[in-house]
Amino acid sequence: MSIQAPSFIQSVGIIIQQEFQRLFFSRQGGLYLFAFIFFWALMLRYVIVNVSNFLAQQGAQTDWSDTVFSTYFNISLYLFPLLCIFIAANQTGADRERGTLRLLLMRTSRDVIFFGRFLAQVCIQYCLILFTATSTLLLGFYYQGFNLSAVSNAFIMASNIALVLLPFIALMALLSASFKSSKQATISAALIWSMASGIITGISHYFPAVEPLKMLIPGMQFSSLSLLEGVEMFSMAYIPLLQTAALLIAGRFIMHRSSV
Amino acid sequence: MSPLIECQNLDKTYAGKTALKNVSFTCQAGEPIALVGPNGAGKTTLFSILCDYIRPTSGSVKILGFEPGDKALLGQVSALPQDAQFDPGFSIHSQLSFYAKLQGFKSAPAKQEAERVLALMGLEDNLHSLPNMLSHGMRKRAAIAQALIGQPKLVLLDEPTAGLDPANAKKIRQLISSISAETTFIISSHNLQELERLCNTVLYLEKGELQQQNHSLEDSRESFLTVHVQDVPQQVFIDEIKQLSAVKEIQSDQKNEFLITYDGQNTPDFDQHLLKTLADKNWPYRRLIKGKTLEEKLFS
Repeated sequence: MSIQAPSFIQSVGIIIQQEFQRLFFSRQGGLYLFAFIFFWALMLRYVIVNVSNFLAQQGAQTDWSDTVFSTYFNISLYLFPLLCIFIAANQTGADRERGTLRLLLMRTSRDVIFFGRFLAQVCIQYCLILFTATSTLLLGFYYQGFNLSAVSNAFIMASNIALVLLPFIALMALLSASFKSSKQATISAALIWSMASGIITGISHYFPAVEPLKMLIPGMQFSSLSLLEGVEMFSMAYIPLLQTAALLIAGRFIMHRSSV
Repeated sequence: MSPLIECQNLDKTYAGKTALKNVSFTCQAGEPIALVGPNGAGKTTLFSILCDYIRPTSGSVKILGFEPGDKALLGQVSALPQDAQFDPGFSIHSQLSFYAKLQGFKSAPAKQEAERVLALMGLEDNLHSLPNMLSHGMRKRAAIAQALIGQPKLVLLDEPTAGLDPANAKKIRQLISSISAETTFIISSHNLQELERLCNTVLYLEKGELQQQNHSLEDSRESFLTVHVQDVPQQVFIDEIKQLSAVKEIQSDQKNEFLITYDGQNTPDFDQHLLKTLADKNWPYRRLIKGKTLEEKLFS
């Protein structure tokens, strides 16, 4: 039987497709989607709508979309990384524990599994970001009327959320390659993140020269990022991109060395 | 043409404990190969190295001329790993289709291939069952089915019939025999009778060292006969058979089973003499094996 082995990109595509099937057609994925949509509906109803109503009552002269999307951004900036630590923790860990990774390794490479699962999580999280940004935009239109700058605001905010989320997904890819369960990966992520930020913040208090080391920790630029507006926000994009590259290189190294 | 497997001076240690020690062997493609040894002998470690699940501490391994994990081996080498389980979130058909796609099948042929291998294992009525809905034996058969996707050149089976009922174990043995012309199987098992029926070459590991690499056809078959008789008093049988001129020795370690050593060079048709004696004495026999049983070869 002559069968052409799929290329790296094709194999990654097959893995991504499978992860989308898990999200949309498995019980676990359905529960996750339901919980997320329910949570976001509450956010829209009690936070975004209230902000919008408040603006309408005040007869605010400023662009409504600035305030609404600033609220959206500040919620999403913490919501998505937090969700990611739980949801993206199971990229390869459970498969390693069950032995399913052994079945996968007979037909594809460790790189395909590692990067395929990482990119699948990126795609899934980006779909959720798109959903939240679009629903916020549509709600804004419903209450305040169509506004072109709202579309631009939605794009900038959603893109920045997407960027800051990357190192968190990469961190979970690395930890998932290191541990046998998502629980271990999640606990380790919380420990590593809080300990690293605590230690670096503590040291930088006495030795300000080490302050730039904070940029090694995913999310440490959040407070600075919140102060920026519009396209200026992209000026900090290099931080999550570099963090992601470093974490993926380390994760790939671990994936290649680890026993399955 | 490269040998199927070539291992040289393979060592594997876990935290200072030796799992494999200086293991070297070469296997050619063809008849199924048995991997035998007591618990903890290093069989699973050797399997894991061949499948690239773990890396050896030192030494080299080549499969079809490539190192384990090489892209060229993807889809060519397959395995039934010990205790590997399917993803509980997808039906077995969906998972096997996914594996087939990763091996290069397009979407529709991947589904057909999954159906084909599951049907080979008698699971055509359970295609859309989740793994947790299947019995242990069915899950085992599904796990063997995944190893057959795309007709790989080498399939490593770790205890393929453990936990299966006799009818299904027989089906799997028949299946292995029927496709062993295209696919070489390496079978790790404690069931020596099963291995004896399937395999011509035996790799015997003990305490991490390769003790024997037997090619059954090469041993002195003409000098041994193993006969399993029915309800014949042991001493009477021994005394009678000893009288046959070619017999050198006769031993019995198990009830009704005798290992006869004879002069094969001068009496190559000794088996016919033996059968005639059994017929003359009206002693029914259940089994006659030319040579020693695998158990005798390995443990006597």
